[in-house]
Amino acid sequence: MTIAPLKSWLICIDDTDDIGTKGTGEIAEEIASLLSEHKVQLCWVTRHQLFVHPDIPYTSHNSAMCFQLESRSSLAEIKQVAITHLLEQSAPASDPGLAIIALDSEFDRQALIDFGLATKKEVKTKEQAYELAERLGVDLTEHGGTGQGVIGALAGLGLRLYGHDGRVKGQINLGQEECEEGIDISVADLLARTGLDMVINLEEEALEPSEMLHLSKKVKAIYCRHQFALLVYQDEQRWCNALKKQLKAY
Amino acid sequence: MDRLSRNFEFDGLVYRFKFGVDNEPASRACASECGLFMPDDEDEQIDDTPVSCYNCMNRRWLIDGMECLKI
Repeated sequence: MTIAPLKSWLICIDDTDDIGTKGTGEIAEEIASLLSEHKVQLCWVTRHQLFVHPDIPYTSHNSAMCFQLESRSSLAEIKQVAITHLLEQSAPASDPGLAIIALDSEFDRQALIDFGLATKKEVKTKEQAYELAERLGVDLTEHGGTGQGVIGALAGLGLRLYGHDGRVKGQINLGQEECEEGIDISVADLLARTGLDMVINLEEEALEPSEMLHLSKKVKAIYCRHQFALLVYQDEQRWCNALKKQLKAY
Repeated sequence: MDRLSRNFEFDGLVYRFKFGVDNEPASRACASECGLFMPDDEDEQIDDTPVSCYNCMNRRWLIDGMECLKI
């Protein structure tokens, strides 16, 4: 029996929630978990902020959620799992969109990145999204309501490919949340224990593995320079995990 | 609701937060006296102090501001 080759996919969803319902990030994480062939596989979901404008019918913040998957499954199999879960979990009043692309296929990456970046600062239409998806070979589908979520889903792929956008969904807890005064840890230990790629300061310069960090309260990662990173700032001569205000830029 | 309304003004379309998008103290003060505050998903929160209008499920971001959907 021939084993199908392992392929890399980018999957993005948008516009699945409503006030008081399960968030799009949680649904994306669940789809990633359902599709992960190895439970140890890290499928970090990244959140990408899109344009907020009166002509865009977003709920409250307009963000898309994207993750990378390594899988031997076919596009049809991946799509089936994702759609089934989207239909089960999306809010009744939502307008879900789903975008999938095989990363090892030949396509105009820059065109997809440009679309993602443009969607952060201008209004795009479904027609523009479908036209680009068809040209690039992105599998783009809508699953209820107006289907407006296809715009954000396609944009999310582009922004993830861009590599310098987005916060990672969820938090990192190495015990600092249970400890009032926080914890101290070296960069090397933090990377080993979390699977993150690097620790960077507000100027986006990487810290040395021997540098010490002080972690407290909620710790979140970002996606920067095509890597998963912890953002830190200097406070009283020690490196501290970034405040939400500093993370907002991502 | 009156106390809440003091912090927002109607701009002809929406009730807009008077203090913009970078005034955490005002956002916290406003939420602390609001009985309708509901935390949004943690991933959508932008203030380290949990009870803050900036973190509320009932706020909606605008191009250059924030509106309250409960006024």
